[in-house]
Amino acid sequence: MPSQDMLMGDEKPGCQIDRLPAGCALEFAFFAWPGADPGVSDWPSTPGAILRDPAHRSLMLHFAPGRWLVPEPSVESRELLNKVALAGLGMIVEVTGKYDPLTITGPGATRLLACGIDVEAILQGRECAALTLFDAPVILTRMPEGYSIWVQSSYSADFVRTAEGFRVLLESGF
Amino acid sequence: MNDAKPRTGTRLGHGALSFTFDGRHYTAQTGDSAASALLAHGVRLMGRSVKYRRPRGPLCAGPEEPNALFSVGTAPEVTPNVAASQLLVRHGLVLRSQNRWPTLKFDLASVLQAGGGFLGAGFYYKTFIWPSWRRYEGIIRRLAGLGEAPGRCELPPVAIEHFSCDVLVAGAGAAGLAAALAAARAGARVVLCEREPRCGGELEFETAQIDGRPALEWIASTLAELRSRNARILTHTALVAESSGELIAHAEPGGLPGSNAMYYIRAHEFIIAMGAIERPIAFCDNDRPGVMMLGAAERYLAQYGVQVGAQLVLFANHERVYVAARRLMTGGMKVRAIIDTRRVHELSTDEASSQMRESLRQDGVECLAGHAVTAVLGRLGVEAARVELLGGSAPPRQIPCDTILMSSGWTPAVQAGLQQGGLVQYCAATGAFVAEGQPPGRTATGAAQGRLEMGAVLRDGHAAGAHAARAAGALGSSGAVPHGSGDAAPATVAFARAPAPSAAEKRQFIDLQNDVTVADLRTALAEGFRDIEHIKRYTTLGVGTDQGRTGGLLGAQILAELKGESLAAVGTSRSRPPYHPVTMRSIAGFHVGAAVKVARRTPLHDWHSAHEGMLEPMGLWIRPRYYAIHGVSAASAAIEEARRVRSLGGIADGSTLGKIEIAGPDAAAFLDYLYLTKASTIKIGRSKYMVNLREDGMVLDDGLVLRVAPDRFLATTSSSHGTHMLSHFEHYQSTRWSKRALTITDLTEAWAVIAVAGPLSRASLHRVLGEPWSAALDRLKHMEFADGHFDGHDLRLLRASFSGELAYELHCRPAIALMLWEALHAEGLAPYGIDALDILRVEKGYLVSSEINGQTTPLDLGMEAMVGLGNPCLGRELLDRAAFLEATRPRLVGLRALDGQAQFLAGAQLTGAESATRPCGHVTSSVFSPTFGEWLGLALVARNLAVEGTMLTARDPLRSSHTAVRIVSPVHFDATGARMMA
Repeated sequence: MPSQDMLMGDEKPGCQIDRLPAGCALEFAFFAWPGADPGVSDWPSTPGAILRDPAHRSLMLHFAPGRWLVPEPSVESRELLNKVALAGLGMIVEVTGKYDPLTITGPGATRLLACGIDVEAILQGRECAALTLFDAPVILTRMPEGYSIWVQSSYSADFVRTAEGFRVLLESGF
Repeated sequence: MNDAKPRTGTRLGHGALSFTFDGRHYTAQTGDSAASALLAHGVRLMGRSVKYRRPRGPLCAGPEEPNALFSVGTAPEVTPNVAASQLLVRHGLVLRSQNRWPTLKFDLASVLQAGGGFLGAGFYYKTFIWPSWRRYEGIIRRLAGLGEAPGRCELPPVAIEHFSCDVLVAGAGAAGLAAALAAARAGARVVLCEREPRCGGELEFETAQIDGRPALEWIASTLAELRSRNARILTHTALVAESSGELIAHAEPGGLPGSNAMYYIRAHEFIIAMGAIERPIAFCDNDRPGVMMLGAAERYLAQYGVQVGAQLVLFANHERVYVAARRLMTGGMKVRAIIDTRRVHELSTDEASSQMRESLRQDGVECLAGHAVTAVLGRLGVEAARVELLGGSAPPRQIPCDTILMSSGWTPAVQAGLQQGGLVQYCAATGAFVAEGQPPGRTATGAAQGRLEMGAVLRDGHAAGAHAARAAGALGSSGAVPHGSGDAAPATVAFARAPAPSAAEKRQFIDLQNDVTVADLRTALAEGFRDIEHIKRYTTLGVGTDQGRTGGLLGAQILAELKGESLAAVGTSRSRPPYHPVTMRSIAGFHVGAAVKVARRTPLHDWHSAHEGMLEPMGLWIRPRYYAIHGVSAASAAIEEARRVRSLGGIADGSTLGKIEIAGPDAAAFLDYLYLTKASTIKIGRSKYMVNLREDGMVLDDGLVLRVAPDRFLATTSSSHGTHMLSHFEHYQSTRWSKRALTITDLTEAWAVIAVAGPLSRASLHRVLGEPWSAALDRLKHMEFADGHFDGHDLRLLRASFSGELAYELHCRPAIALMLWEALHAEGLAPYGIDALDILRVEKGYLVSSEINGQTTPLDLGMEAMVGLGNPCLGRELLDRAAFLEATRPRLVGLRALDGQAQFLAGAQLTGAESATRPCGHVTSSVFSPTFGEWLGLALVARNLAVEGTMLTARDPLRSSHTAVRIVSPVHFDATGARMMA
């Protein structure tokens, strides 16, 4: 009997979930948004934009309108933030410990995230977004080999458990 | 073991399987459904009806099957209500029929059918009220319900996928395939959902040619082209709902949980091509095993090689019955007669139709126009059909047969078109309702839109696909319209029920799953139910697993007849999702077991867990109630922990406190607006106990506000209110304060908090924090704090107390929380949990959500001094309402048992001397105090009675206890605060 079926899971690409050490992190928020001009050429002004270094690491993530995450801030990043803060446009807040960073990489990464969100729709036209994924507040960014995710740290244990559960399920040939 | 002859069918393989049904062994071929396998063995009786326990066999071949529902598995792990037509047989499958006792053939409760008139619509509501419903509840509950609830349920996990596409086509019959192909050719990203394991729909058995090829070849080439154009084809997948802009599809391959999937699809365009459901006809005893839908018989033959009967009578009101008869005869069944309700002059007169009828007659098939089957003879099966001339006086005839196949036309499957504001409209041409007035981006096509002739179906599908692709921005060519020919248009003449005397109407079944008869509709009308939605709820017409797909429109047709109205005026009841049964496990998704609710953990979670902390969810947080190392029970451990804090000291994890930073030039003014007292007067390095009000003047939350810098504050909130308070702050920032210079940042996780309380706290901190912090420890006064570093990380030392003891809070970065905690523990400070904290705070009269319960004002809670400062904050104006000053308003008081020993618990109602039944307040908190050796409490009592020394009774009817209590000050312990100021 010839089969017409094209069942889900014909391909079972794997992925890897890696928790990364949490370092220093800052948030910067504008007092007014939109309408404020930071006056800095590199500033990722468009919501969802990311300022990256030549090695493609995320320096500043515009994760919500008028709000940026600056993970592992460099001296240059701090100077940039200070400049905008001193211009009276917003405030720097240290949020070290607020987020647990992790990465989900590999050919199955997108499928894993699709267990919780429509990745394509959410990251359409932007590089990062703040959202709820597996019931946890996260900041999601695309990277060349997968995704970087900053999970609010009190949720990270459950987040990783749920993600691992889906990873195992998907790789088991579902 | 029952062996059946080998069969061939589009869904069958050659493998042999065995299974049991009601304890008896049967064989099946791979690909068989439970219904097809049992039918192949000649089994017709597959269940009993839910109300009258009438014997029932399969009616349909799809998920709309109302009768043949099985319980699968053995207790306690049972999956009930699985439609036999959808259940793929696996080796060793254990099936049981439902709604019968002790056996399917002999069911004791079926005696109820003798009194069918008793149990008509509304019988339960009207009958079981005297002397009490309780008298009948037990037996009714045992008899009621569809199938057997599982005693245990360990179902496998469900795959979930959220994705987007340009065009989603639900249904892969002729229209759906044509639509998907047109859209894909135009360049759209297409997803095609088909609830069956194979695509094709009616083409699986209908004799059709498309683009000059047999339909099955066209299907295969269409699917191949769709795949080559990267269309996604999801078989076994039924579209079940639409919610929040997402279309939800459910896959349950083989009809049993095992490899289920839920798809949440955002489609730019959605094409409903879910076909149409064949309608039954109401006649006397039309529910007997052996009465089936005509299309079902064709499906069982084509898909499984099953002959549903040996001697058939076909009963219909359209032309397709004749071609169906020919196919069934070709499949080896004998058709005794075709009963066509259409008069002779209503029959199709084209040459092909006439020739078909003539050839059937020549093959011995009696074709009776203008006749109807009025009754079935036989009890556990069909023995004969009683046939009468419609509108004539000729005596009825009996035609011996073992199967009656009925069809009164097709009801478009428009359930998906009724969601999100979609409407249906009556279509006179098809005698049914079709989707109209659809929201943008949604179209119905093919049989789902009332098209039943192959050429029209293909044209309609192609046009829908091409249009959808364009709307989604795919502007390529959709290619040529497929041309097809198949069964001719059915030329249906409406017919819903055979004539019957009124006494027999209670055996003319409309909704077989719920035993709804013509008599029930008549009763409902007589009792004043006129609207079809009311009648649905009163009679249960169209509820259950089949959701009225077989009987819904038939019921509306008969209702129209009984009311003397048009079908268009009667309308149909509105379908609710899911349109197709969905396993609860699939809906739950990953929210099962420990993951049923997301949990938040503090940086010290693992330590608590490793040191016998009894962790419990409190809101979303997981927190230690107590540590089992301190006692054998929660009560004894908490008492020991509280005692140690008062005598020596202890440490508690306060990381769950909400922490919100408000920063910017306008931060102070903003907080002045949101708090009852002013934040702008707080000096840098100091904190203040502050209270938020809602707009209506009720207390919302309380906490400390720390001034970190001139333009920077940290507001702490209660643990359970952190998220809500952040939202509260952000709401006012983005509305009334949108033009002001301030930012709000949630720092709850950025600061772990360790409370260090008790007489030894300062000395212990000296040793743990060392010399850099010594000056601060000696200098800090109550409510002051100092910022600095420890081991290279930020550390804030705040002198504040929620226990009434000399106490500090270490606010530290999570990275050093464990190190500090362990160092303090090594100093001899034992951990204490929430229960001990509760004891300590009740002794001091401190408040939690039991007192700040959304119904208390600051005046109720004894905060007159704060109110008196006159800060014009949010909610302040409403505090002056006269109602808030009335004598019956609650007032916070302390309580103690009159005898100094008796227990009273939170929740107990308080009554005064005037009335033993009218409460004047309630106990909000109560604890056994190790400090005083007796029970202490806090309570809210009517203001006019809230005088120290007043005697009340704490009444706890749930525990049958009454305790005499007296009102005391809410501050039971150290009223001057000398200990915490030490």
